Amino acid sequence: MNKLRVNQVSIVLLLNTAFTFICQNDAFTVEGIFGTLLGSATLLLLSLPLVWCYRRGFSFSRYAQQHRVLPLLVVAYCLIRGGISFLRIQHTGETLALPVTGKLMAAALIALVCLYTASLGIQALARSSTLIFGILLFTLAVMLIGAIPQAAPQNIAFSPDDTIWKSFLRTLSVAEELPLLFLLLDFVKKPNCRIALHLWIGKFLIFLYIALLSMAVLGSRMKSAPFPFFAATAVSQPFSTQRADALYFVLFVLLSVFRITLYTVLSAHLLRLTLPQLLHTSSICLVVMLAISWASAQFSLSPLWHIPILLGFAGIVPLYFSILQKRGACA
Amino acid sequence: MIPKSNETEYLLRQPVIANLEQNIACIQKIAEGSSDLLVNRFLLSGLPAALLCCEGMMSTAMLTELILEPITRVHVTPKTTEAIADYLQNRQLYSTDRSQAKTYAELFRFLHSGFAVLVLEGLNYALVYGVQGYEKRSVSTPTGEDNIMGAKDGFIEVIRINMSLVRRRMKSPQLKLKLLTKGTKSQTDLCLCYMADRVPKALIEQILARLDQMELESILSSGYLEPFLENRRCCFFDTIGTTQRPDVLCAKLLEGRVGLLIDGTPFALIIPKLFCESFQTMDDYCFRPAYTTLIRWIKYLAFLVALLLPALYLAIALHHPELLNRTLLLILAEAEQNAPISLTAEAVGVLVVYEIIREAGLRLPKAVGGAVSIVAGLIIGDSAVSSGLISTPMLTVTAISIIAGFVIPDLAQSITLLRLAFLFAAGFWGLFGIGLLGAVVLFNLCAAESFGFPIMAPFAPLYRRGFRDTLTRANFRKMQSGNFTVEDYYE
Repeated sequence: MNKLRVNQVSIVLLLNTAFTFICQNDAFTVEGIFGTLLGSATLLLLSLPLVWCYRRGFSFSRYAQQHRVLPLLVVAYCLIRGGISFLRIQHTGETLALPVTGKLMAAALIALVCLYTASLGIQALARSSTLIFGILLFTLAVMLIGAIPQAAPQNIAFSPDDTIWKSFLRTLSVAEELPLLFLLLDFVKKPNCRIALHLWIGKFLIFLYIALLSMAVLGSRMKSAPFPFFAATAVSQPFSTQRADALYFVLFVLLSVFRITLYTVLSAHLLRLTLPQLLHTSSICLVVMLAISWASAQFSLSPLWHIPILLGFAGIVPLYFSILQKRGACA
Repeated sequence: MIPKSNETEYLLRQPVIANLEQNIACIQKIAEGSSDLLVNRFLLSGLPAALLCCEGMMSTAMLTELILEPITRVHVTPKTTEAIADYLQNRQLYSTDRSQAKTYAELFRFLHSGFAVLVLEGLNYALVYGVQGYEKRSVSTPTGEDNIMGAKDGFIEVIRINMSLVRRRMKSPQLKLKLLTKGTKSQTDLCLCYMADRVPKALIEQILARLDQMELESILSSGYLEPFLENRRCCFFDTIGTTQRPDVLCAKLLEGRVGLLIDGTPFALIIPKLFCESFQTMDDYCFRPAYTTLIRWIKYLAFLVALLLPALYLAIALHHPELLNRTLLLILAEAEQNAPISLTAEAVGVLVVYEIIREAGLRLPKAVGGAVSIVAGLIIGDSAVSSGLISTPMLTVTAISIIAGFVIPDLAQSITLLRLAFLFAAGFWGLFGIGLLGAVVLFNLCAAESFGFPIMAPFAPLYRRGFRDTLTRANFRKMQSGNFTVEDYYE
């Protein structure tokens, strides 16, 4: 069961974060930076009880083998987040003009690839995270090289349309790393607080980097850009003779596949533990995610629904499991 | 009525008969139809005996000098079978390689390996003496792994000589060369090579277990064994390495890996193999670190170019022309406007024609090999472009990709297949297709293991210490410390 290392878990979650940032359609602001800082600090504090739970010998996999309700709720959460991710990929893909006929085709191709990648297991996902993270860092470096000649530091200013509180709530509403951390800690031999520290500090630093570059390069144009990251990269070309957009395109595809695979692997794993007689769990999860993405496209829901779930994970779940542990139910 | 083949199999399992006449009759029955069995009857200290050998497998001069002359002068008292057998085994040394054959299967295995077999009246086993003298190739430069500064000797088809090439370089008694016999019909000798103080014990046991599960009739090349030693899950790249060089094998053994020599094949298998080793050569350790680091990075770049360049060109030209700068776009548009076939078909066609030419060049007799270059290069290449069937940019891109692939010949098979796959993905879905297939290849590589060793180490999972011989080539002063073994990568 213990298959992942501490730094692999951090990197897996950082890649998940990176996908959120590059597909963000809200403008990057200075208030956003402070809000993200506050949000990351809050999430760091919220993740400590989860780490503490696991350090005391708790295992969610063992719990899932004996109980059904809570694990199935977690599976439902993963499937909903996966479905929302599919929707986000579709919206971003429209802006990038994916050379695929029909929205469904793009989602189907990604689902097909994720069916294969999910079948390889969590260890393959964790190992590949190192390489994809390297590609991400390389891409960000290329972005920096391209942005420097275009950057205007005076563009980095407070925005009249945003506040720190709004950006703080925004940070919490997309912080799916906390529940994912809860699930991934199960695969680590000796969980420690370093995972949480690396994750939330890394998240803030990546956001800071992308936000500063995007603001410096785009300035007031960011308001009209549907996806500020891609708008910034379109302007930040490192070479005068050749565009580098292909690199960002490929990065987007890699991060999309990675994110969907992560949700598929985790939800399929929990389904197998909870319902051992169920076969083809990965396929079922992907089909359900596609259905959820279609349903999500029909109506919109405030992203703030995620905040109570986050608080529940961080507050109630560790308390519940520590009570169970005292009773000897799942140690 | 028992079929003849079953009768032979039955006889092979029987122990050697003590009665000489019955013994020889049984041997001749098993070898019925073979004209290379030589039976020389004589009296050995008054007792009937016979010396058997396989024509062409032994050295006549060695046989005469070491066995025939001395053995005919043997006089033992009392003239009993036991006394003569004891005398021959404990007081005479006809060969450094001596053994006994207790069954006819063992007898024939020794006979067909070039041993001289002595059978004696009343003795229920045969004495065998190694006097091999069959024709063999001399040790020469390896054909596929050329080096500038490294040694120029390579493995040949005789396993004993290959073992000596390894032993000569590693004089430590920790180097173990363990012989096995596999293949129900071919009875091929295999030699497991490992450093006892470096190799993980579990690795040896796993390899032996996998070899025991094999039910092959013959092992005629290294390719027969590889599927049994690789994981069943398909990987796009090799997880078992091969080498023709004894110095490379020794370097791998020092890292705790296992080598497998196969009689009849000039290639050794290396277990486990990591992906990054495809970019390493022996010359890397002869040149200066800075130069080697540069060459390594060029190889990594060449791998990406070989794999992705035609696909990237196709994707951008077909689906993302806005990514090209204006001058390049105009050049491409002008080149492609008169092409009668689609860009995808053009790209695939050029690659397929190259594969045909490459295969033809390999299989043709050397005398006419030069004609392939003329036909392929001048006639097909020049005429195809002049006639407008293929555009010059497409030919140039494909040629660059193919030449880049030559830099890493170890990955040639995988690059060929994946290059075509990326081409199709790019043709249908542009950069999106390349990204998706790239994700599949990446995950496949990261999932692949060789006996529990992830082949993408030290990149994934990350081992910073491993970078000193992958991303760079550290100075030997740094590399000599740490005693790196592949066990560090085990998961």
